[in-house]
Order: sequence, then C-alpha cells, then structure tokens
Amino acid sequence: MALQPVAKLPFEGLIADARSHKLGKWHSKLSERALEQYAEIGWPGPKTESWKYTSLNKIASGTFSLAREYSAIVPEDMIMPLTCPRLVLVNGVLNKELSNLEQLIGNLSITSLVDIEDHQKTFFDDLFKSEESKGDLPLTYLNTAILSDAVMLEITEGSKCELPLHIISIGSGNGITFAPRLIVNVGIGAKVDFIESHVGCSDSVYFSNSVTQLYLGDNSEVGHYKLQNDSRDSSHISLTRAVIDDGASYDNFTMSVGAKLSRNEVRAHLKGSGVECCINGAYLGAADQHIDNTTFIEHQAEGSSSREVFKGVLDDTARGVFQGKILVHPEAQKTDGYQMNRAMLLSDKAEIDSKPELEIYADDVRCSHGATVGELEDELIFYLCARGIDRESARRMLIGAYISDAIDEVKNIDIRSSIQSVAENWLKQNLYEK
Amino acid sequence: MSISEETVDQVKKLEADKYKYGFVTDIEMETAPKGLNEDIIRFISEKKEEPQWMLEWRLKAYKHWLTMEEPNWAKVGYKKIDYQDLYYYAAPKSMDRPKSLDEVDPELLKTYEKLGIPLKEQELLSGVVAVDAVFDSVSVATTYKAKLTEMGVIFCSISEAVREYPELVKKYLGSVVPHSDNYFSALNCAVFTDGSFVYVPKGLRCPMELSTYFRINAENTGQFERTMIIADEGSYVSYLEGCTAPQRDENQLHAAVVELVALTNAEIKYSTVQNWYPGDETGAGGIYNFVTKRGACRGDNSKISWTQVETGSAVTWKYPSCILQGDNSIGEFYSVAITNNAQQADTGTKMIHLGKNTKSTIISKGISAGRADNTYRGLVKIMPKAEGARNFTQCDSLLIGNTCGAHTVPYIETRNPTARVEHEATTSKISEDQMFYCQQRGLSPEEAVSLIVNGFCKEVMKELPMEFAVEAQKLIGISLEGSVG
Repeated sequence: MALQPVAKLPFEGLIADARSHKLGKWHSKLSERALEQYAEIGWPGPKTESWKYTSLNKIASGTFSLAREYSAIVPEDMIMPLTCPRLVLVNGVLNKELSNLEQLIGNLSITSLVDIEDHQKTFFDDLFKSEESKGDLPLTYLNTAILSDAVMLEITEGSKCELPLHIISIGSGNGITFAPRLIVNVGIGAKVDFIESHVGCSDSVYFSNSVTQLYLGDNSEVGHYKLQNDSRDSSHISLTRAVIDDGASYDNFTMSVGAKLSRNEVRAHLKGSGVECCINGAYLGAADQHIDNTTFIEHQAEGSSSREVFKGVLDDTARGVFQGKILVHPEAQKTDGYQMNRAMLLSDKAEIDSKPELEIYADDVRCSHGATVGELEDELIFYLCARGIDRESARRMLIGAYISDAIDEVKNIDIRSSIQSVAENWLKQNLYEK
Repeated sequence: MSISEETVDQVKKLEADKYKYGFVTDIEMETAPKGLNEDIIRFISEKKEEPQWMLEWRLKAYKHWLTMEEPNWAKVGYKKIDYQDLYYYAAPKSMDRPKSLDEVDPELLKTYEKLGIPLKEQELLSGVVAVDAVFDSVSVATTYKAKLTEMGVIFCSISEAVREYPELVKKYLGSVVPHSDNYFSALNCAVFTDGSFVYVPKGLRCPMELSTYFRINAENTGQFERTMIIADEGSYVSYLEGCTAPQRDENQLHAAVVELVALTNAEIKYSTVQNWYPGDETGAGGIYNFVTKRGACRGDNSKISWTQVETGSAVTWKYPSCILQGDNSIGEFYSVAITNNAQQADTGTKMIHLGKNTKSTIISKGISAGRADNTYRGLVKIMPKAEGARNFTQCDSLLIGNTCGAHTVPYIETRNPTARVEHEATTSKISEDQMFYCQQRGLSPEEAVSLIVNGFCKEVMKELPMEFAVEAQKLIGISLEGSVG
C-alpha cells in the first residue's frame, strides 16, 4: 500500500464504483443520500472528540480498492470454535455456498440486499432520521454509500431459536476495502443468540468497515457476541447500533484480539422501559495493535438498567482505548447504570486511554462508573509463589483470571467457553510462547 | 445553634435581597476607553508603570490571542461575548497606591466591610489572615504587610511586584501558564490589571493565612487578575481567595489566571470560595467566570492542594490543575460546585504525572438544582517516566429535581505500567428516606436539604481553612434556596 497525502474525502472515488453493483434504483438513491451525509460530516480527524484517541490517518492515506472477489476458504482456526448453523460473508457479500443455511429453522428469515423487502428498507431510513449525534457516524454513512450487499435477519414474533447463529465475515485480498452490513430484526417475545466472527485469510491486508443494526421488539431476548480476529495488518472499524423496546433484554459481548487498528463501537438506544442491557467486552493487545472500544448507552424511558464491564491486557507497544458514555434523558427515571473499565499494562511502552462519561438529566437515577489501570500486582504473585506455584505459572494464572472475569459476563454458557478458549489461545501464542 | 438552623436564619435575612453582595459602590472611577487594541494594552502598561519587557510580553500575548478561537468544547452555552464592548481598565479614581489603610477611600473600606472583610479591624485586631483586596482592576489594600515583610514573605499586588521584584516576576511569570496556553489565558496575559503576588522564602512556614478578596464593581468591566504564588524550598503557605460582584442585568466577564510554583519540599494550599453574582432566576445577568488555574510541583516532595467551593457565576469554566514534575510530589483537588436556577458550571482538574512516585487525589462533588447544568471534566495523565504514580478520583453528583443535569467527563491516559489509577463516579438524588428521616425529627424540608447536602460535601469542606468553612457552609444553604418544595 503506497502512502499518499490525505485526500479531502477518503474513499469518495470508490462510491461510484460501488453503485455499479446494479442493486437497483433504490440502492443508488440510498448510496447518494449516504454520500451526502458522509461529505457533510467529513472524515474524522484529531479534533473530532469521539475519535480523539484513535487516528484514522493511516486508513485515509492508504490506497484501497473495492473488493471484487466474494469467495474464500473459511479460516477455521480463527473463527469462534462453535458448531452451529453458519452464515458466511466474504468481503461483505453473502456467500450461500459456504453457509449452511439448510440447518436454519423456519422461524428465521434471511434476505440479501438484492431481495430486500420494503419494510426492511426502513432500517436504512432510520439511520438518516436518527437524532443522535450524527457527527459520530461518518464511517456508518460511508458503509452505506459503498455497500456491496447487506444481510437481513428476521426472527418472527414469539419464536425461540434453540441454536445460535454464527455469522462469519471474512476479509480476503490485499489493499481492499469492504463494508459488511447486517440488519437483525427480532420480533416481540422472540429469543435468539448470534455470533459474529470477523476474520481474515492469511496475509490479507484490508479495511473492513462493518455495521450491524438491531431492532429488539418488546420482551425479546437477544445474545449478541462478537469475535474480532481480523488479519494482523488490517483495520477493523465497526458500529453496532441497537434500538431496544419495552422489557427486552440485550446481552452484548465483544472479544477483540485481531487487526492492527480496530474500533468496536456499540450504541444502544433503550427506547422502552424495563430494558436490561449489557454491553461487555475484553481485549488483548500485543505488538503495535491499537484497540478501541467505544460505547454509548442512551436511556430514553423509565426503569431500565444497563451494565458494562470491559477488561483488557496490553503488552509491547499496544494501545487500548475505552470510551463509554451513558446518557439519561429526563423521562428515564429509575435508571440503573453501571460501568466498569479495567486495564492491565504488561510493558512500559503500552498505553491505555479511558474516557468514561455520564450525562444525566433525571434525578431519580443510580449511575456509577469506575476505571482502574495497573500492572500485575506483586502481592498477588507472591501469594501464589508462597503456595509453591512458580512465578511464571502464577503470572499466567493471574492474567488468565483477570480476563475471564469479563468473559464471565457472557450469559450463554457454550459461547462463554468458546470465547474463553479464544482468549487462552491468544495468551499462549502472544504472551507465553513469545 | 446548629448549622442548618443558622443557614435558615441566613436565608430569611436574605429574603429581600437574595444575593447580599449585589450592591454597587458609588465611587469615582477612572476607566480606559471601551474596546481592545494595542493602544489599550500600552495604556494599561503605562498606568502600571511597567518596564518595557512586560509591555512586550503583553503585546506578544495579544497578537497570539488574535489568532485563537474561543473554545466551545465545554458543556456551557452563553451569548457571544463582544470583546470590543468591554472596559479593560477600571480603577477607583481617588487613590494612587495608599501608604497605609488610613489613606484608603472610606467608601471602599465600607464596601469591604459589607462584604465581611473589615480591612481596618484586621490591622488592629489580632487576626490571623492577611488580606490583599482587589477592587475592579486594582489592588486597593494589603494588610499585615509590615509583619510579613519582616519574615521575608512578599505579599503585594502583582503590579507592585513587577516594579519592586522584577527578577522574581520575570523568572516565573508565564512559566506555568504560558501566554499561548488558551484563549482566555492569552487574553488575560494581554490585559491583566492586577492580582496578588506571593513569595515565601526558603524554609519558612508562613505564619498566617494569606487572602485576597476580589470585587467587580464597575459596569461593563472585565476583570482580569493574575495571581502568582511561589513557595521556595521547604516553605509552606495557605492562600484563600473570595470573590463577589454587584447584581446587574448584563453579563460580566472574569478571566483570571493563577500560577503556583512549589519548589523542593514546598507546599501550597490554595482555597477558593467563588461567589460571583450568579444571575437571577430567569438566567439574566451574572458573571462569566473563565479561569485558568495551574500549579507546578517543580521540586521533589512538593505539594499543591486546590480546594474550591463554587456557588456563584452564571457560567463557570475552570480547571485548577497540577503538573507533578518533581519526584514524590503530590497534587490534590477538592471541589464542591453548586448550580441552581440557570447556572452552568463546567469544572474539574488536570493532574499531569511526570515525576516518579507522584500522587494525586481528586474529590469532586457536584450539586445541580433548578434548570442548571453541572459538569465535571478532568484529565489524569500518567507519562512514561512516572514510575509508581498513583491517582484516586471520586466524582459524585447530586441532582435536585428533574429539570437539571449532572455530567461527568473524565479522561484517563496511562502510559506507565507501574501506575495505579482509580476512578469512581456516582450520580444520585436526595432520597425520600433521607428527607423523611430528617423531617420526622422536626427539620423543615429546607433544613433537611441543607443538612444532607452539607453531609454530601463534607469530604471537601473539611479541607477548607476554618474561617472559610463556616462561610462556605452557609453559602451552600443559600445557593440551594428555593430548590425544594
């Protein structure tokens, strides 16, 4: 990838190219509107508050072309180790051959962008209507402008999906960019767990700009788990946006271990009352990795609770960023908000920047946040050594336990243990056998 | 008499005039023409009989200010300030610097008496506080000067210091807050008219509290004072600052700069009770308080402690900070910020850890009532060389009513693995249980709120020197008046 001076509006040149996908009139109109929004906001720079700690200069000055290849071999050792129905996207486009959709049960429908139905189009419109700080979403508009495909999942009212659904997004190729887009509509009282694995084929270098939109109907129950294990020299920028209605419960967890530069942004809008929302995550960084976790929880109605636990371990010159904001509207009385972010630095060149933020306009609320940073405590190591455990094992035990603490937040037991094994593998490869 | 009863009494007394400092003193003033340009700066510098280097420094700051933009990242909204529609210099006419208190205009002395700072009495009685009083733009009187001079403490107005101790001023002025630091501090550098200057010599523990009272009196005047405190090796000083202004319909601008320097083993304790006129219930009038306060712990084992009780001002924009350069140096920030009616406060601190084993503590209590917005904004930065640095931060917010807002925006940047940084924040309201408990024991709702709020702020209040603590407790009651029931 040759470096060029930063263009005024990066990727603008690719947008016309993306329209050549011929996905119909509706699609080109959508793309035009998105371009307008993207152009209005512009590329986030160092002065954009929500991108203060994560610089996108390298992406902006890189040369990327739109991915044209939509088949690849699934890198089985990188994805979340689970046996369940899978849906595979290669460079952002649904690949039916790699997916085993036949296993999927009837109460779940999957539509690709070419077959999009009218009511599903409203999800795209929603994004343009949203009042929330538009300025924070330039890359979401860029995603919309260069879409090659989008996958819509609809879970019908009242249906309980026994098996989780594994969505695998593969990046394959060099110097390419793609925009995976996933839209999940969960009907009233429905229950579903799904996993996103973002991985890359070996030696691929790409920029994945991913967006997942969810709508949770009344009393629905959704587990949404994500593994970000993109190729080591790639960039992964993602937004998850969930709109949650009355009495629904949303359990989100992100495990970030891959990519050179990654940002995992989760925005949850608690529209209904009595919502239970968990946004948790763990991140492991070594070498020159940059891992950004940004969350925004908006309490719009009374009596909802939100919980956030993020933990990270950073070695070498890795840099971690955590930005978490809780906004409580005046109507959202009896809100209960909790947020905790902890990071462990293992090297003197590692860095962590946290910005937990509360913005509260209702008086009858309980909101708290906490953040801690520190190294592995000598006292704890001593405690274990005093009991006959050698120093290195003690260290491994403590680092492992530190990260499991966050992983324990995952409600689905099977998924929890597979996330656990991903973390253990990473620690083994990057820390213990380095 | 219990504190809460006292508060209620105080509030009753003030019913006719809620802001008791809202009077105007009719005194002949000398002002520079309205507006800001190089000539005004030359005029101020000439009035102050300043040396050439000082004027050049001011002009350099002014030129830089012209290239800057007013910051808009704080969570406050206010009418655009027309910097050309302000007087940048206003001084009581009658006096050149008085030789003794007897020469001070009696009107002025009366003003300070009304404010509860009887300068004259303090000279006579065996008080413990030395006061420098700043009226609009100039320092009018400093008490206890002789006694302090005898011990080697320099406590005077900054204009006097520029004339009498140019070497000291030249060495430290702008060394903590440079002329290019931020929009308001650059403006201050260009047009500052007075302020206090303190130098505590090596090894001396300053025997009395030093204090400055600031008063904005004239209309359409900006007050730009500059305070400098230098604590030489092994010394200690405790400094108090209080501020009031008359009640006016238009907004007034206050852009001050405070620089503290603590050398090896020195300690500075800086306490502020900020009670500028907050504007009326509808949000008309009030002071725009845009202040840059920063202390440098230059030497090893030095310590700087900021304590502030912020009850006044329509808009507050203030972040007293510590730069912990020396090894084992300590920075502290204790703050109570109360906003009621249409007040807005965006305040907090910055703790920059550079030296080894540096420690910082941040305790911030924000109370928001009426339609007010109260924001804590802070930065804790641990630099790569700050081995063993330690920070503890606690930010608590209390909301009274559902038309106000409380916000917390901390930034935590850590670049050293041995650092331990802890941050906690909570938001809550006064619970019905607490109110019921108090009222059941015969307290009125107003008394109960005052009691609970004082309890909520206790950790900060106990850091204040005694004379100030009593006043501050009363202020809290007054500021929250009308917020319940």
